Amino acid sequence: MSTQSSERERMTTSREPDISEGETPDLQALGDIPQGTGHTVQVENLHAYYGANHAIKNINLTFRANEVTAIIGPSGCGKSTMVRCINRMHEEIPYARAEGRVLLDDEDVYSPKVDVTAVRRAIGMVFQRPNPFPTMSIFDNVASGLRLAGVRGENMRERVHRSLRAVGLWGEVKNRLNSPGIGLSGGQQQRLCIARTIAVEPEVILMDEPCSALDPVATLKVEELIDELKARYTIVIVTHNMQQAARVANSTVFMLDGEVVEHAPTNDVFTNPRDERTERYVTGKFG
Amino acid sequence: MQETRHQFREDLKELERQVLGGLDLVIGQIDRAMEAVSYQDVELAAIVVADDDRIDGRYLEVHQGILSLLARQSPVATDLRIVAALLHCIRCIERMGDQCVNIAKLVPLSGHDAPKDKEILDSIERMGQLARSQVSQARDALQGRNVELAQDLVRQDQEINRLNRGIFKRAVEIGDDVELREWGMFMILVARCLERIGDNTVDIAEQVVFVCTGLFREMADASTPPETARST
Amino acid sequence: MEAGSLSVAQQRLRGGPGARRRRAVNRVVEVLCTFAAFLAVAVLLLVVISVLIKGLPALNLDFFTKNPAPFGMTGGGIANSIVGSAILVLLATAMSVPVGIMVAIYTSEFAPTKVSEGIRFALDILNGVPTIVTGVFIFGLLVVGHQQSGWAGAIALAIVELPIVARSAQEVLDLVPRSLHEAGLALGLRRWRIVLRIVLPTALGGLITGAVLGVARVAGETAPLLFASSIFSNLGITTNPAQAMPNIPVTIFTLSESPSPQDHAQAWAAALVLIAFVLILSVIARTFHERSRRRIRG
Repeated sequence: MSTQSSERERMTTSREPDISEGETPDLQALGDIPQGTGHTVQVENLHAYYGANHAIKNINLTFRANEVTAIIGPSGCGKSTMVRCINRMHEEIPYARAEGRVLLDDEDVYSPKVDVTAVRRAIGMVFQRPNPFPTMSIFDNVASGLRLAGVRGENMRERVHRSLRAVGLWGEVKNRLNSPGIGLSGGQQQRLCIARTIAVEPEVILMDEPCSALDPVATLKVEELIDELKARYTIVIVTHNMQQAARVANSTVFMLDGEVVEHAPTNDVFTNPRDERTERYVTGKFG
Repeated sequence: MQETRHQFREDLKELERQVLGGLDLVIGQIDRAMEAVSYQDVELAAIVVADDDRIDGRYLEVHQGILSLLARQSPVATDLRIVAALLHCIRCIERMGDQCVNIAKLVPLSGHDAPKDKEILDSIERMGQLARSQVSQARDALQGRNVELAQDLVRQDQEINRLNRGIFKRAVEIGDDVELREWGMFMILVARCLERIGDNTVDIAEQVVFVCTGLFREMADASTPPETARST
Repeated sequence: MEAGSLSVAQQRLRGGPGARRRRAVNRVVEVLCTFAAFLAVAVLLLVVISVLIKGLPALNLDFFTKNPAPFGMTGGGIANSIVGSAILVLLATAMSVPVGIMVAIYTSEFAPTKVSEGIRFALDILNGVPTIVTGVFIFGLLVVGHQQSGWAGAIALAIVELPIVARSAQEVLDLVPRSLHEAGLALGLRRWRIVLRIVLPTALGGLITGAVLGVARVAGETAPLLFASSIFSNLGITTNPAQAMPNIPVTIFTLSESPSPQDHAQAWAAALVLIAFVLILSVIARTFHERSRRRIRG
């Protein structure tokens, strides 16, 4: 406890960083990107079940490093389920299980030698409804992923500062780091959750409809942030908003009834899709 | 049960109807312009010039309709290609209308009861028929999304091109005849207009192929020299 | 105005035939319900006021600081009972609150659904067990063959308090949104850390409410103590739980059985102290409940 309060003291009485902080995301705050550190995710023969319900059928997909891949499809097609199999959140649901391989670079996250909490630190997740921890301040929220994993140390405040700068929140919250995280607006809360996720320094970020609960302006800010984030992380975003997929994603996956129908560059999916079903979905003939 | 995006589909179909109607207007203008040329009918020529307002009006309507559809409905995939194609086609229609006006304006200038050269006149009439049939075929190709019909237009266009070159040579030949040569020059201009109309139908054909296949390929038209024309 | 002379709009807005009767029925029901509500509050006020009136005269400093006077003499107080009750309730709470909260955490976080439902059911039944039965049970287990003791009394009270604390804690933990668990899991945290550092702090207000309600209930439980802690060797202040400890509920009972009117007056006064204690605790519980609800809803 005393370490926390002394950290906070130093926070509020310290010199202001001399780079001007605007509202735009500043990924440079995280430092230079080391060469050749892109991370690929490869899904092989993935099946997922809810009890007896075979929700995901034999999915094979590659998510390229440092790109944004969008997953679109009608409700119930399995897009959220598939994404939750990537960071092994699916198995937390009672009676749910997954089979197959998910390779982060070369390592299968389902391998028995792997520690599931380490998987989730490497593959972060942002949810549909912003979920900052209600009993924690803004500072504590961003630090929570580190602190509660047992990380201690001097540079906690530096890491929090960097994460908040990276998501473009620093200017808005620098004078109230001790106020509750839930006191922020919806859009700010979601960016806070993103800051919390990147503070843990993941390699991949999964986003499950991150903007559905936000107003249009907040949505655009988050999309802008996603565009910046891809320089450092591989991003997978589930969205039911096709215009959003069209705006942010390099490539798009169309799923239907638990299977992948088409995976192509976004431009192709929205000007000249190969599959008839994709054509019908994106033009709104069904949904 | 109503299909989803019913209003959008209706709006898109209506735009297409207007474009097809524009092609019909062009056919009418070609017929009248050719008749005015053949019979030196100055009054008919004046009507052609006045009627071009309808084509210009159609252009504005379709243009506005497309902007509105893009803003409100965010069309994608095939719908987007159709919208882009319709915009291109209505411009071609407007240009074809202008060519008809150019032809009509040449009628009074070429003089009343001027002596005419039968060979040139026949070629002009033939060109007019071809231009008319090409516009009609382009209309059918667009309405039916017919790729073969569209590609066939290139073949027909080569015929118009041949006739155009022929008229030019003949006009040079009769150039020594003082009474005929002015008329001959005007006929060269008429032939040029008709040849431009042919090029526009090839443009429309390219758009039809684009809508159907998602690929855009330049087709060899009269303005491309045969040696450098890409094979289709 | 006759019906025929109203316009169509006026007729429609007036509600049609039977509207007046429907309004009258509505009024009657409203009045009856209001009356019932007042009745309920009035009963509480009646109890509190009569205890106040009867008990206030005997309330003085001696009452709180002196032990009971020897037989036949007047004066004295219930200092020993107050201390005894405090110790018994404290012991009972120290036993039941941690266990209750841990049971709640188990059913909320770790147990499979069927097991969790089974435990909830068992706790509900335990809650409904008449306290006299609990008293007899403890009597048979701990008192027969030995002697009455504060421990026996405290354990009996803990048995009564446990289901209250546990059920209340379960309700509050269930209210914590699953999204917080998910957020914690997605960050790569272990379950026990999530429970300890995220879920419990969020539910803290509600957990305290549950504990306070448990204390309020158990402070006045008489039946178990009649069996476990009602016969005292001396009438001084006892702090040793190995012996039977004087306590307020039993004292009220014995004082009211006595022929002396001063004793009756003291019984009323003791009842007043008990009721005041329960009222204060209820107010505290309420405040924490509000705070907890605001936090969880975020």
